[in-house]
Amino acid sequence: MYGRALEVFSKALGLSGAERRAFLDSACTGDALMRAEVESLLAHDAAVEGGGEEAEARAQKGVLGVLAQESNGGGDTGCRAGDTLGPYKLLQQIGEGGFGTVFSAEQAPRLRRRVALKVLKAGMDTKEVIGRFEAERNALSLMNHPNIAKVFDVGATPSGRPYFVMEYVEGIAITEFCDLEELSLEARMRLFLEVCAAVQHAHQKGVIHRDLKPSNIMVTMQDGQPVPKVIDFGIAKATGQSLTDQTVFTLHGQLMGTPEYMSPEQAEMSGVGVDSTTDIYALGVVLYELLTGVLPFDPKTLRSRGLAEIHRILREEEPKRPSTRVSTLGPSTTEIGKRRRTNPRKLKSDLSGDLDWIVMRAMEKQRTRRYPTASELAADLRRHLAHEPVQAGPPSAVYRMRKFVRRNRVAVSFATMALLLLVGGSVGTTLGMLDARRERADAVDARLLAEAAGQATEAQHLEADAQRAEAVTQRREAVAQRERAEDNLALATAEGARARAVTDFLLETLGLADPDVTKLPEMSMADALDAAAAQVGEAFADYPENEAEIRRVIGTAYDTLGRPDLALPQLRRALHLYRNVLRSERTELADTMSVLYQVGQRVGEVDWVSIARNTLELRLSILAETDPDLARRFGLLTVDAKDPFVLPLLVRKAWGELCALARERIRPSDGAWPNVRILMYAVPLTMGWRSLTTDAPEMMEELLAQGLTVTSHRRVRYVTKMALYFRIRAGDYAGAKALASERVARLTEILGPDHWYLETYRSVIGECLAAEGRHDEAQAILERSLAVLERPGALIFEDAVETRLRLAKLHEASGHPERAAPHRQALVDYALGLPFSIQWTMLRDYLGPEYTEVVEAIDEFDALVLQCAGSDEPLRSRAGEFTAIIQRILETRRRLCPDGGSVALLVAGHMVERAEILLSASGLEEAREALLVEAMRLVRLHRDERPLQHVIGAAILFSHLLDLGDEERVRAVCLELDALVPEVLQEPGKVNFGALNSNSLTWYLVKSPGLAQETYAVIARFAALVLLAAPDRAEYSNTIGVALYRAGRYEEAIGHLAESDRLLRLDPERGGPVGSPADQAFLAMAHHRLGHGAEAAEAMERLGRLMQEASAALRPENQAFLAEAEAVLAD
Amino acid sequence: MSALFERSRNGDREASERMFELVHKELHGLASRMMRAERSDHTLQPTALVNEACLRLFAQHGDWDGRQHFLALAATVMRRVLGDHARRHGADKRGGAWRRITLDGREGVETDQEHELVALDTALEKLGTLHDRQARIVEMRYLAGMTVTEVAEVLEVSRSTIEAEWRMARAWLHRELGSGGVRRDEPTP
Repeated sequence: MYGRALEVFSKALGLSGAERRAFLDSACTGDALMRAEVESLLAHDAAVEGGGEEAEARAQKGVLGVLAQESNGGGDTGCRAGDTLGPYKLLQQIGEGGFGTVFSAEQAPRLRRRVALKVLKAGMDTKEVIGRFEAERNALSLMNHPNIAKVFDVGATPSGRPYFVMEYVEGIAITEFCDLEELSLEARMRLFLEVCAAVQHAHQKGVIHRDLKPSNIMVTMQDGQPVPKVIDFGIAKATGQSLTDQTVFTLHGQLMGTPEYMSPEQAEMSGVGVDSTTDIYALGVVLYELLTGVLPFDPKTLRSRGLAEIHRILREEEPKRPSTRVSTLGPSTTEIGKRRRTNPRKLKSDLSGDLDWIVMRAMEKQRTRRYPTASELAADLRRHLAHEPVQAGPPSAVYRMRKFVRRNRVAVSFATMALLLLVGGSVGTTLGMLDARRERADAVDARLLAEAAGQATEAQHLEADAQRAEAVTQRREAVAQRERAEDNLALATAEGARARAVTDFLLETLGLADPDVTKLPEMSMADALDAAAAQVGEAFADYPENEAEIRRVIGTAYDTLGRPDLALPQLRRALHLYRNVLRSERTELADTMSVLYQVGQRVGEVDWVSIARNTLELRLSILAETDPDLARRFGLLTVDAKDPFVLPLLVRKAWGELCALARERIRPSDGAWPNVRILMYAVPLTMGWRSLTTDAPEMMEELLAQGLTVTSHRRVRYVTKMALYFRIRAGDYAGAKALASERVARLTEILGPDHWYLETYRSVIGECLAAEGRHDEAQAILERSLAVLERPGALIFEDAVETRLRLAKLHEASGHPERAAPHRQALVDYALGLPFSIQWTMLRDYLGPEYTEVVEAIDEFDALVLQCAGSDEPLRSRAGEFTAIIQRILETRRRLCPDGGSVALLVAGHMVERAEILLSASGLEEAREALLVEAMRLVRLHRDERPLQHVIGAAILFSHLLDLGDEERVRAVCLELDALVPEVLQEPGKVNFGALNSNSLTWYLVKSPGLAQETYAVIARFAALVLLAAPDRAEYSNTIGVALYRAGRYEEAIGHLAESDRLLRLDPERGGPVGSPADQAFLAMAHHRLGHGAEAAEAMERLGRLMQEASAALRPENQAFLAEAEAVLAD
Repeated sequence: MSALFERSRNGDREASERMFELVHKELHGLASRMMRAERSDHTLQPTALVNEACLRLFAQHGDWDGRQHFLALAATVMRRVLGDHARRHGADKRGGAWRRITLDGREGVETDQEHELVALDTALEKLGTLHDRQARIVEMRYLAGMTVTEVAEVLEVSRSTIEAEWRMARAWLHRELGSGGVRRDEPTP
């Protein structure tokens, strides 16, 4: 039916009114369905075609006439006033131009409307011209804008020349008008804004002008107001794309027309189509001329050159900035200034900056760098007029802005596209993003898949990153090569500056999430962040350095909004990109780690202490680069602190040394000084390392004085809180209250009185009131704060906890321990869900005063370990003291914390951890045994509610028993673990446990044989999840490899062990070129099991070499691996 | 390339498919090269891309005799690229819970347009089953920016036929896509 309908439709098109109806009647006899179809299609055709007449009629009102001026005389068109062309009677010649003559004319007696008629010269293919115009007619008919003079029609003169019929506009060229009226710069810009609106309108309708220049922008007076009108839309296209080129030289080689407004891509003549940004370029030239009175390229110079040279200039030479240009014009500048109601000096200063940038951006050689739309050009001008920062700017700013206005533009492009289809035009404003976005969409898909499918596809993700890392390397090499070739350092700097710029932009925009700095509704910010987070991977698929920086910023902002859970993935990803893809060792990596450890600390999810330590090390190592002495001492210091299995307690020793070094070497003039200072205190303060924090109060006050003047809210917040803490500790409640009140007042101004963020400081006020004995007031404030802080989405971990603690203490001080009890219980429950390293610091505070003796006993144990760690003395030389302290721990625990209670369980966890510290110490087996057996007894009482604690205890007991060589009990604990492990680790969601802790746990489980193969398989899966948290950690891959080996999955084991080996070798400080015995031993065994004799032998050989080194040989576990490998290979 | 093209023109399916692949690759490569070269988003329109791809392929592989035919082919490829994009993009969005908020607080409006793009692709698919040539005409006119004359040459039918079919295809699409959703800027006739 469609085929027949087409036939009828085609014929009906040529008919109208009654004729058409009659035709349809006869053609569709007996086929009502087809008739309906054809009529429906005809109606839609009319809808698409139409709009024309009416729209034209509307546009006619108030229009007086056309005056078209061309700067040069043209050939004879053979037409004279008084002639009649079709329905038009030529009235008088009103202009002559490069390609023809313009007449005013009157349309057919009946309509009597005044039009302008442009008759083209000979030399053009009339049929082609008319054909092309027809092709664009529909698009043209859709334009309906007060600043656009319409082109109505096209036709051919009897002598075969094409002519155009246009709206008649009486006026003069915009530049001329502005000079005659002596319009100020501002008035000129306002007029120009209307031109932009006209061009934007045309672009939205799919029409590109292609030949914008002052003589095509007329200013006419309407009701005493100047109104610019853009004429000749559609004519350039109809007369051929290279119209401007053709008008440059006549047949006789004489220069004609106007190359000055020609865009570089038009000068290319390569056949690559112009697009809407071609018009933007021309608008830039017009604006240049309006502002400066001269053209960007001197017409005389331009015209004195050959065609090829003109093209070269347009393509390659950068025009002078407007402000530079006006200062090089000599005496004529005074006249130019006068025409703008200003003087040369002021003119120059008014032009420099914003206006320079705006003009230069519109005139960028690369069209992709220009304003993508006329309305964006206009918007920037408006910003300038409103004294707001413009988007254009030095190149980096241009770049950073464009990145983030993209979405708006894409929105425009889709709208345009849908419209274009129907108007039949083939050009549009900004459609090109589609392809680029498609490419990126591929990347996003991969990511979504990875998220959906979990760990399996995570590997692909990582692989993609590896490729990106390679790409980065290649790109850097390419850059380096170019630098060498051109000795062009600027290139590299620009690269860095760009990356910076993106982040600056984000910081400026997203940094608004910072409640200490400015006010924004919470929700919109969260939405913006979500959008940004979802976009960033896509937007910067090829630029991991940008992605990393932006993710860091987004992560920081999320944390600020009280969503550390959302912040963590962003920060981890940023860290991963910096470390593994970009291989950065710079400040940005340290900055990311800084935020990550703080967020990690807040949610207790990552091994934040080691990240903090690495951060401090990194900051010091960056500083050490310029300080040879610091470098040397730092090098000595970090050797032994790099052990991945180092226990938190031993970190303290390394930390102290690092801080001493930092205190001594870093000067306040160093940029990193405040960061390093805060970091130095942050960890010890949280961890309760009091000896490292003695001068912290003064330091915080000092930083406070500086910090409140900067806009980094994180610093303000941290320093304020610390200062408050120390004031309270020193008994200065009045001072603390004053500071907290001042913050509340300031934040209330910004955020209003009800924002959760204020509760941080209100809670402190509550504490001060309590100390002053104003218990009722204090309680009211604290309870309110707690309610707000525990509201979902508003939680800042430590503030809620601290508020509970304050409430508990308040009730205890006012003699109501029973009211404190629920808060204490909540704190203990809180602590139980956290990794030991956090519990440990909190223990002292969280447990009520009745438990002081237990806490002190544990503290004493830690102090003794610290003493040993600080000296060369082996732990066993203090065996007596350890035994005595352990007895005290056991005794106080028994006396104060009843079996089966949550406090007993909490203490048991700490006993397990203390036993772990003693694991490697010979001579302390009995002390260990006493701690572990008792701890395990307590833990087993909670097997159902806290199975994780049980697994941890059993894993350490397992190690202990292996060490004792007690085979019978080893078998028993293995059975216990075989039953427990699958239950607990199979559902990793249950395990709220830091990555480092998780890896330690799995390591204890896999390093010695003895469990069932299925158990190892479960452990391997769990370890793979741990790996997700820190994919770059060699030891995590090693753990997986060992687990898989023990599960009998040798091939897979080899993959992970090789990855571990690779990662370790990448890190010169940890593995260097030698690798690790744990990788080599298991590689040897796995290869042997698969019958790969050569590979096994090779790994054994490397293992042998590694074991030559004392540091490796001294570790008992390495000895065990060697023995195990030798035994396996001897089989 | 020229030989391949000749074979393709003469109805060799395999050659056509090879050509299709070649053009697809080129279009894709082109888009990504432009991205890399310029780092910022670019504003090339599909028409320009098609033309550019065309230029490059012919500069490398052959003469310009078959330009029109090549453009026609490229238009088909382009349509697929765009349609895929819109679909993929739509799927991506359904997958995520976030709303598209521009940083200056304006709501992104592309959702509707993307739907339209998908709808357009689907509609063209349907039109192709009704009248293959009309679908081809739309592709060529719209995506390759070809004139009625050029289309007529490629399809080897008269200009007036193309003109009439173009108008019919356009009317059909206008109806199919629902005028309310697409032509909101236009005056009601």
